[in-house]
Amino acid sequence: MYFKTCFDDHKGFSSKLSGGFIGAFLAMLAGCTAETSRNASEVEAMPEIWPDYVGVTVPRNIAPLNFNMADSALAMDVSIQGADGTVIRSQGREASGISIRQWHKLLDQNSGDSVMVTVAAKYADGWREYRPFPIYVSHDSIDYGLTYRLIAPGYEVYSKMGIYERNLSNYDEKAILENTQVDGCMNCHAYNQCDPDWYSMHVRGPHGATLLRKDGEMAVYDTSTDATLGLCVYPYWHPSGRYIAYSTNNTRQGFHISGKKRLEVFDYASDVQAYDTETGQLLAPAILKRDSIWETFPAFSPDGNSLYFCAAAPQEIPQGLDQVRYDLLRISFDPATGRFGEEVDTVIHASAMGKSVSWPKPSFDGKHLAYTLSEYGNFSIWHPESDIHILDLATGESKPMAKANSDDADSYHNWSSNSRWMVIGSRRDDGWHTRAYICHVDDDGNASKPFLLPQENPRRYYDQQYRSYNIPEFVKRPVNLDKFEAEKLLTNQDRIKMKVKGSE
Amino acid sequence: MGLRRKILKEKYRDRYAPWVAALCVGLAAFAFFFFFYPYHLQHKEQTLLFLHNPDYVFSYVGRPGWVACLLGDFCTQYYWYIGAGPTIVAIWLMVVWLVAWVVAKRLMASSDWAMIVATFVALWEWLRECAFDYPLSATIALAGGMSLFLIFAALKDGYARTIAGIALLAFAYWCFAYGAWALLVLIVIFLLLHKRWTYAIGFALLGVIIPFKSYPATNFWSWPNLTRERAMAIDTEAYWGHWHNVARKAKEGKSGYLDAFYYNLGQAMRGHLADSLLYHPQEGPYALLPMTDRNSNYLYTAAAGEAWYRLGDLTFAEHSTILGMIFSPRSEGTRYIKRLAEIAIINGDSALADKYLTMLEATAVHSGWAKRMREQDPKDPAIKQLREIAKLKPTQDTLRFSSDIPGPLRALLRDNPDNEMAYQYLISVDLLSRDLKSFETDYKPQRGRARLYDEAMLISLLLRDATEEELQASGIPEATIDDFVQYTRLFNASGRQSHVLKQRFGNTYWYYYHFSGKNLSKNWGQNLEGKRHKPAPDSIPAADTLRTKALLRPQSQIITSDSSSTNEIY
Repeated sequence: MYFKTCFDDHKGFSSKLSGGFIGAFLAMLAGCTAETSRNASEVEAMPEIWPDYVGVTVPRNIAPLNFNMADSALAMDVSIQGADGTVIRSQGREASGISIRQWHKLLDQNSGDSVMVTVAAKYADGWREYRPFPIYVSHDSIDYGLTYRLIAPGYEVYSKMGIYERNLSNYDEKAILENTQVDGCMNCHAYNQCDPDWYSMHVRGPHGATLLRKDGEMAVYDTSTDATLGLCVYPYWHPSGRYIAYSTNNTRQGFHISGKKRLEVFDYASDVQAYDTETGQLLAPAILKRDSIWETFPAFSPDGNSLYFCAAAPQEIPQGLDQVRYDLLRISFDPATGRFGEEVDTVIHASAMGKSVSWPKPSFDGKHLAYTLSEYGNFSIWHPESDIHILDLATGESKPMAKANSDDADSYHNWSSNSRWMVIGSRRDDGWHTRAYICHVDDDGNASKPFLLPQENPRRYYDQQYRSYNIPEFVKRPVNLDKFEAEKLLTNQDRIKMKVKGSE
Repeated sequence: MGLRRKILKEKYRDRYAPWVAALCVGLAAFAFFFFFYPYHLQHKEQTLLFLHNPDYVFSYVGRPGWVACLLGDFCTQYYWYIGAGPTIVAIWLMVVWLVAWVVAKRLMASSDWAMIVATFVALWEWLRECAFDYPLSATIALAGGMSLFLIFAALKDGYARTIAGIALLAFAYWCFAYGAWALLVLIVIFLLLHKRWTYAIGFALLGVIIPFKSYPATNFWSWPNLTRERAMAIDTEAYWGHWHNVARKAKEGKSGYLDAFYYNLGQAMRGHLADSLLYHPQEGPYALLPMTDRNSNYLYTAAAGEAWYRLGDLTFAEHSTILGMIFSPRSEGTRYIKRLAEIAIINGDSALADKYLTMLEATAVHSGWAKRMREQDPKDPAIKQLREIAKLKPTQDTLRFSSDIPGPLRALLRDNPDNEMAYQYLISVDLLSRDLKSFETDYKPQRGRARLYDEAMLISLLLRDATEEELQASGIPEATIDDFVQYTRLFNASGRQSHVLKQRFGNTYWYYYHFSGKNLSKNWGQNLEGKRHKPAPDSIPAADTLRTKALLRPQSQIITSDSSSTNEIY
């Protein structure tokens, strides 16, 4: 049998191995069925591949977008050609098996342009070659990595979970913290504009605490006070790193007994507050803790002079759950004094449209604000109708991110540090597991078709992954959290007690 | 001649005795695991997902101990077949015995002592295999680590052997993980016996760089746990759908939520719940439908999913199954994936079903089941069962807390009044939580009577000062009323002593009402309005009240026809 190398670069060294023993050995070792597809019959249609990477836009430093044939092809042969004529080729029995090194080289050479992917697939009656499709390569690079919590969908009690870090240029994943180290539910976490040296993470359970890393220094806090509703929940850093806005929520989880939706997470009460890391005081102005309003999901504007948050009129739960609709509001903030303004502006009056806003996330360049819009409530990931919308902060115009959205839930989203990439938690694949999709966002707020977080063999990986990607966040560099120090701090019951300003 | 015979005898003994001894160990192990401990092995298969595809197999290679893990998991998947588990474990224990014997002989130069040592090692490993989460790969890791010692011992003394020893340790860790510790210990003993003190110390110090982990072994020591074996037996019989065996085996267990849970489920699946509920110790409604928290045993969590599945609440069945899987020793398992696939198929979640079925198709022993699920042949009993469950699904949506058990049962009945199992569960939940107010609402005598219900109805009638007409209208048989009166008298006469009443009335609802089922969680039955189905403690009548009412009530109000018995009492 005639073997070619798995990774046949027409210009590269590996072509020298063609037909050689080492090449054959490597091909076998990689589990490839390397063979010729030169007599393939031509098919007019584009290939049906999974994940659907046809026409997606990628950063030049992303890991290879390996894919599988959506049908039961016996093998596949993939050629990727750059504008300068460079071709990289790979073969695989299941996945495309693109070489990381060659892929990066090709993308660097074609940054700002596109590469054409030609797929040939082997079936019982022989090879078929499909019409080539493009992958657009953006000039805009993406951050070093993505962090996320992996957790069983529909969790209510936690068991095995953790927060993980994924290098976006390859497939390396490592745990930042797992609850095999600290018995607790690793909860909401946030970085300051993708900088992992500024980190807030909430842990529930017997070692419950909020872990703060400020400029690399770690400390653990007890965030409950007599003057506030409860623990600090959804965090958002002030760009200066001095303040962290939090919501504090009395949250419960309920299950649908029938229908497409499995569960709901809802509040019986909620407020917004901010922690001043310099004075150690919790800023809880009356205007953000009204009983007549449920305030949640705070997010500082990139200039640090205002705070966005969601607010809804309280309803009786559960009868009124489908009437709980959050608007997007804004209040001014003076970072020098830590004082909030006296008035609140309505930015998106969603309740008037019969909709509900959640997860407001301003882009770090100050141009846009992305948010999730659903029919009601605030836990939009369990609402199939949820879509990401984008608000132009200069014009006030808001529109759905049409290309990025799907027929199923598209919810939790975050910006890359250069505000050109957005990660979206989406259930579009099976309606049950949340997966991380990444799209490019241009200056005008237009999103490209998103691509699924690449894996070496995506079909195998995602089929065997039972957990959801929860709270995906970009990071500029490895988190490098000292796990043992974190474990020590969390398991030690000493906590810095937060105090509300004016209550001492 | 005699000397020659003696020499020949010793020669044959040396040649065959180890094999005979190893075979004896193997046969004994087989007998033990086949006759006394088979369900632990079944459970190991259920909580494993081994896929026959190159990527999955290659994923082992990067891990420490990959040879042991790969081989162990490969073998474990076949535990599914009756008798395969005991056979495989017995073979590996024989391997351990033989390797340990060769190693011990090499160290001690005495075949007899080597056999004793080998027997101890094999026995130790045998006992460790009795743990529910102890993988076969740990046994293979031990055998592998010991085997590598034989290579070291065969090398000539000197630097080359030292370097080879270090390389072997690295290789042992890569292939057998904690088997490297076994190798290190044997090397150090070997060097000490050969008075190579410096080398021995040097190798002992090498232990610092070997990760101090027992992986893939999960425990150093174990012991057969027959209580757990019985629990796993019940659980596995339920997985197989052998409900008669489930009820029978659960009945043998005198206590424990899992026994009671499976006893109830087994009886309900055979339509006997009402008649047999109190013929097993019950400790409140959790034994019908368990609540899950982070400390819940995975068996218990997944078992709850089994009950919700049979009842038709697929949301909670899915939720409990996924939690059970995540809580299980390896956070995976064919058993859970099969159930999740069934739920996805019923729900019409084709992408999700495809994900699970694709996985199962890649297994050695469940691929046939997965193919049948894809084919959806209506004549297939498994498909018929799916369609029966699908009929039970509620059509109207409602929200519920996980702590709300009566609520979803009522929702199931609201949309499918013919769901007999939901009805029996709802009534049983009302009764076991001593919520007679709800019982009166939920109970529909036209659906069928049971003595248990009559007993509960008598208390209900008494508590609300029912009239004679109401008592007559209730249709409760005279014999039951007689027994109630006698129970009341005895209760009064004994001064509420449960042991006096237990022998005669231990299986009655009156006895349960007074003496059992008081351990409800504070969140029991809480629905989304914050209301609880559980009656407030002060609304539960004290025994005194009950007794007083029974005694003070005019004879004619309670006893309608049998005056002899009333005279005897009053």
